[in-house]
Amino acid sequence: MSLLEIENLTARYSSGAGDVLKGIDVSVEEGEIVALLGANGAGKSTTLRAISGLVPHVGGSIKLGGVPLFGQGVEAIVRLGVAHVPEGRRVFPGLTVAENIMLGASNRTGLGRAEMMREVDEKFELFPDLVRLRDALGWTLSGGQLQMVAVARGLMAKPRVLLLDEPSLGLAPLIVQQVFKIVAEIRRRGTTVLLVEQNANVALSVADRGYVLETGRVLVSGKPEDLWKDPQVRAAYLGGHAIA
Amino acid sequence: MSVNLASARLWRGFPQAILACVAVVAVAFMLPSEGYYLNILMQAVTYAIAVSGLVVVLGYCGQISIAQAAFFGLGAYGVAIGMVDYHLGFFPAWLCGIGAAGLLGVVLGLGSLRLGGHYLAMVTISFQQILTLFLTNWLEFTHGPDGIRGIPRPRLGPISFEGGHAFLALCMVTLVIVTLAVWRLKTGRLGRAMQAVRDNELAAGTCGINVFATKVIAFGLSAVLGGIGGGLFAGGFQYISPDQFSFGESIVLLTMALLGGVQSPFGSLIGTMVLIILPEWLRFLKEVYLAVYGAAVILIMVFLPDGLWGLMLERVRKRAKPILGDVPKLPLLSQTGAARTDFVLTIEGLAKHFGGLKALDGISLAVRRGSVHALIGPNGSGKSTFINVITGLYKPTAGRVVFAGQDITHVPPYERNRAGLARTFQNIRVFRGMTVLENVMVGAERPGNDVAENPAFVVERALAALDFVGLRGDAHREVGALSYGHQRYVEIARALAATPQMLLLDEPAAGLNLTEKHELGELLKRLKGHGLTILIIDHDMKLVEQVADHITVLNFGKRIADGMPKDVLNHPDVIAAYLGEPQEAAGAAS
Amino acid sequence: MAIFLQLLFTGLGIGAIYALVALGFVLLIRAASVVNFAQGQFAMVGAYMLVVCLNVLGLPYLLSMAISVVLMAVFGVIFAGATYWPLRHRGGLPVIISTIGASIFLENIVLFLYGPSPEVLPGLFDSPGIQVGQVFMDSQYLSILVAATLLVVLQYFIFEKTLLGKKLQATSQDKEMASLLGIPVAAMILFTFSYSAMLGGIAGMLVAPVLFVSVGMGGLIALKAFAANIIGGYGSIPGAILGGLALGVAETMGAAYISVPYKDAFAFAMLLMFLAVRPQGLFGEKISEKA
Repeated sequence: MSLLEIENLTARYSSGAGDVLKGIDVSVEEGEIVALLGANGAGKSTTLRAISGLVPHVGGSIKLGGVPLFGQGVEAIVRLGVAHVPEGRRVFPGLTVAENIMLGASNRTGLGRAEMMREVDEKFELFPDLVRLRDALGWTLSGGQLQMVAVARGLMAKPRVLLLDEPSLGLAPLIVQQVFKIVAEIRRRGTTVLLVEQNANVALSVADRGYVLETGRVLVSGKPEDLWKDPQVRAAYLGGHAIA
Repeated sequence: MSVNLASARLWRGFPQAILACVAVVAVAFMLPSEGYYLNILMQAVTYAIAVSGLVVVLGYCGQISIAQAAFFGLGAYGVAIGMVDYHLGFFPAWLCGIGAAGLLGVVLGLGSLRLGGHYLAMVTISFQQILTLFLTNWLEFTHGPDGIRGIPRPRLGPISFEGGHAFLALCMVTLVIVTLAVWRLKTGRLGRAMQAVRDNELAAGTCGINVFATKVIAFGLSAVLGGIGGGLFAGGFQYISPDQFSFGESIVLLTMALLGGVQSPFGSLIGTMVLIILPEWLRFLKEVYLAVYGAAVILIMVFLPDGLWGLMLERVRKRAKPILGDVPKLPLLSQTGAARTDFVLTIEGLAKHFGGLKALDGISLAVRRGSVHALIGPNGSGKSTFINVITGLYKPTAGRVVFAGQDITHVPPYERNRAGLARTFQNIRVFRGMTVLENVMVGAERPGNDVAENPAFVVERALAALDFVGLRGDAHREVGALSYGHQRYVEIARALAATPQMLLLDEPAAGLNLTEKHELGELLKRLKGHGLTILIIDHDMKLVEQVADHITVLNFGKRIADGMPKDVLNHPDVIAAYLGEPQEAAGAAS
Repeated sequence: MAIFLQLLFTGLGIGAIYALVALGFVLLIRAASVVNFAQGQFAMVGAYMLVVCLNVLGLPYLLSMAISVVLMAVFGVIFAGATYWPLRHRGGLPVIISTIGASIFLENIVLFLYGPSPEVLPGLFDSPGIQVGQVFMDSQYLSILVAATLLVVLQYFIFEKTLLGKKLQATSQDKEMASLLGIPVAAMILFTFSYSAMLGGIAGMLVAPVLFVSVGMGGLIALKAFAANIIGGYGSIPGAILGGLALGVAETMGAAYISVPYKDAFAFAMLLMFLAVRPQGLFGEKISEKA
């Protein structure tokens, strides 16, 4: 049985609107990095939001370790072990870096303050660039720094699966590589990752498997080396002209 | 068709109003002579006039005023002081009171309406308190807490309003006229602008509406209506004192409006009648009646958001009939393009910095007249910032924007629309409280549009635009009842009805399903066929390559490619921007 | 000079009351985007609770205050349940109107239960006060200033030094993200209502011996607190405190040197002046413009 099992997932944002997802099947095994790829509007972020319970109208089923997630509140889903690092990072602008990371543990009951601070310090080992920014307020950080804080905060939840939404968004190529080195490192340390990414090449460079979404459906899925060669992937991003 | 439409609109409601006048005069004279009935009705009628002011400011324009009793008081004190101390006639004194209310309303509005919605609430509460202080303490002018007695009633030529019945008839006729005016306002150009402001300030601004001025006018009108009611109140009761115009009374007036329904003067009329008569019936409640008012306000907000009138309308809402007959074709090519510049939009060195972040870093771009120009780029490349600068929502850090030969770099959004720049929004911004047709009429009414001054032509133009996008059959439906894709068409129709020189489409395919995307592509091809200049921003490459003549690609706030679609989409930098750098990324994996 | 210092002392005392009410007001704006027009009635209800405990039940002063504060905390939750919860998804305007309704309801239900005649409360201390140099420090004003300072320090401690405070701040900055971290957002908002009601209630209890306790006492205090909030900078916590103090001093001085009957008009005149000249208030916006 897969750790995260998504079957025939449909989703819409309001009752009158059209389906953003039209029956998606995705599975994530323990210890994998799985990438959801596709152009903007394909439904990648919606899939992650549906897992976290943020989409009001959903159908199909999502199970984490066999436990159905539908019908649970957002906060309950987090307690079950889903940590979501959303698009745009959403680092609290008025709190410091350390405070932001600390709050990542809000889903864990019975965690002592000393223990928590020790774990926060561990995160700074994983992200040495953040050490000197420990007491900087969220709004003063750059895009790459925000992304690192957001990932560190997500890891504080000790998640069974980490949902990462567009970590490369708006980052310069060099910073993107840094971020993805960290993603690979996170997996090496045993965290399962479901990654949404528009930047297909960099995502496939770390992923074990990938799914390419187009307009709410899975177009193709498979190993990175197969997807790499598939002309459909290119077309999904750049349209027919690019392959011509 | 246009002739019929025009004349029907001009006299709309007049026959009913004349009948109503006759009826109310008859009722007024048939009442028993007992003061009790006269007083109850006098209060109800004068209050109803003031409450209809709240319909304008709160119902139509969505701004909270909590000082209606203060404006009511200004009207009343105008009549009382004018007649008793300055020996003016009733009508001149009344005008003074109304003028004072209107003037103060406009001044308060100018001071607070540029800021967020709750500022007006606070400023009006403050004003209410200050006025009460003045009425109580400025003995020489206001007679202080004892109030003013012996306010005479008017004569007008041979007609005397000195008797109770006659004066009540005057009040009731005024109420009929006010109700007619407020009802007609809702479906007129100004009223539509107010509702557009209420539903979506941003979209209203990009439809050429001066949002701030519209709010000030709405608030000023509501103050004037308060003054009209107050003046009649003073004549009706012939005695006034400061406590009749206190904060508590403002709340009573607000409750009346909310209970009846703030979307219609008929609603406010019902609300007023109910709340004047109800306490009379429920005399045992006397001690707690204000507490009941307070609780009622909460309960109405929770259970009756549209008031009693909204509830009744829901019961009797008829299926709206489609509008038949031919309408002239949409004149899509701009008629105002006197300056034959080759380019409609020219942008030079445009930059926008947020602190250290360079969201736009010196972009240059030119849109040729009659072409479809696409602006693309990965997420976070600066496209949204670009649009917000072009449409005037952000001020650029540097650079120049020239539109149709006019430098619009520092011009507010509504004036850009007036110059012929129409747009749609990524997250649909329709006016939710209005019908499909009304939404598009707001677009057609852009100042400077050829049809804007003639209501019949506005309807025709709006229908033509709806016809073009295939939604004419839905003209009378609430816009919120349409599917997401059709709401986007309403936005496009709203923009087309404004006869734009250039149409700016901000991610029109976002949120559409596959069929809808296909239909949108067909619609854009038809628009292109008519020679309309379009600047389209989208992620959907299939859509872009179908319609674009020219593509500009942004990444990290800079222009990385510009040219014909085929060249641009095969440009290595563009592929790298979208798919990432293959070799480097592969290196990162090892 | 002696008179000036004396007025300054009194003004700061009254200003501290405005500041406490304004503080509760700002917390609700930040946590729940609620503009609560019944904030002043929190003070009135608190004062009447104290009246009941002291004058009717005859309990000792400090015990009465403690009981009243606890009751206010419960009251805040009930208030949120009635005026905010059912309307929380319908935007700002319906909630504003419903809190206006609540303010009218509270005033008149107390009027019904307690009658219109104002109640008199004794001061917290029997001693009338102490003379410091040329200034006579009234004991109740002194208590107000001490209590307000303690509350501000306590609030600073809660918000800056505890995990609860951080969760409250996170909730006020980004509700969806807070809930994605497992922070119970609804509980945080209810706590803020409760805390805000306590602050208002304490302000009412402290000011009760200085003014008469009447059903109308809250309305004016709330309006001054709103004004303080605008003057200090909309939604700013230090702004609310400084704005409140500034207003208290300005109106005390104004009453002494210019006109007594128009004392209450100074606050509003100041408000209108700020709106015209500096609408962002003393402290303006904290977070910079970043899309």
